[in-house]
Amino acid sequence: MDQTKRAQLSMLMARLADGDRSVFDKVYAELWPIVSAFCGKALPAADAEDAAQQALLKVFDRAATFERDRDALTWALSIAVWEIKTIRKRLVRSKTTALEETQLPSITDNPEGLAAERQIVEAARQVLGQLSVLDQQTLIATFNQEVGDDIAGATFRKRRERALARLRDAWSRIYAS
Amino acid sequence: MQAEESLLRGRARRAYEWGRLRRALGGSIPTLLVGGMVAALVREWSWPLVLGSILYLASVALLWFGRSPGRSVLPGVVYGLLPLTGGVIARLHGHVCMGMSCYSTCMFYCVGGGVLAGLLVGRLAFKSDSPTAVFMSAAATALLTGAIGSSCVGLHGIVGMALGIGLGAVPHSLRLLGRR
Repeated sequence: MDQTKRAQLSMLMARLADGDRSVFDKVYAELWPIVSAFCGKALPAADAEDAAQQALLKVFDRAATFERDRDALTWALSIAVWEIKTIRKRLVRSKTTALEETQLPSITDNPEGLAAERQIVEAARQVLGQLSVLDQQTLIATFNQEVGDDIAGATFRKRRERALARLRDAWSRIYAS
Repeated sequence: MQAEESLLRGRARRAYEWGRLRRALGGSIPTLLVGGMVAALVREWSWPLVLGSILYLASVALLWFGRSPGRSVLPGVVYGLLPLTGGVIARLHGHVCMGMSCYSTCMFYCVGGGVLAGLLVGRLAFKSDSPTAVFMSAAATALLTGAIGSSCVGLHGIVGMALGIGLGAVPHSLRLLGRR
């Protein structure tokens, strides 16, 4: 979603928070596909639908508390993240016993495993995309075991630590359960 | 699929309205406290509590509705505290004596507080984009808040305060008519 649309959504959300019911349908039409897609990336399809619906209902339930100076998309997605976390916790609790290591299916001949792996890679890419360009370059250089000639070792180490901390923060903010 | 979509939309709308109502119910509690405090202060329970409850219901309805009327609730209640304070003072020190003669201060406090509140309400309405809605909402909440205090000195206190609010709003109403 580009900046103009984001700002427009925030403006519509502020009007809805103020009690302007005429923008309800527009806000619904803007938010539903985004929240649905976001949950779809983080959860299996069956649970994603539930999470998206619950998140959307919570967004509208709390619409009156939306503050004018906030970004509506970030606000709505943070509610969706909580919903995803709740569903993940429920899924973890519903698993009564863990499988033995020998019972685990091999990822290579398991299409579900492959799909899950792809989801994790996609999630990592998204989180990486939220970091600054400098952090991204530092992490890529770390991954490739490259250090630029123009950067001192200690400087690079500090940069790497900071970039990793921000990566962890971003990951836990979005996907941690 | 279409039916499911419209079902979810309906649930979302109900969640929105329910969320607003919950917030309005919680946000209006201070108005109940105002009634309770006045009742405790003047040791008279019936009218302050009845008027406090009416103010609470009015505040809930306006906050739930939102927009300009909802935004005018807080200033209306704050402006209404002027005649309320006047009414409570009139109840506690009902007269002033100069030499051999004593005068009742009841009407002075109630009407004076009402005029001040009316002026402030008029000014608020004049500055806003929707003056009529703001005036109606702020004047109603100011009147109810003021009535909690003025009720302690009887019905004439409330009438005096209401007249005061009406008088106070006149200058801004005239300016508003002139602007049109």
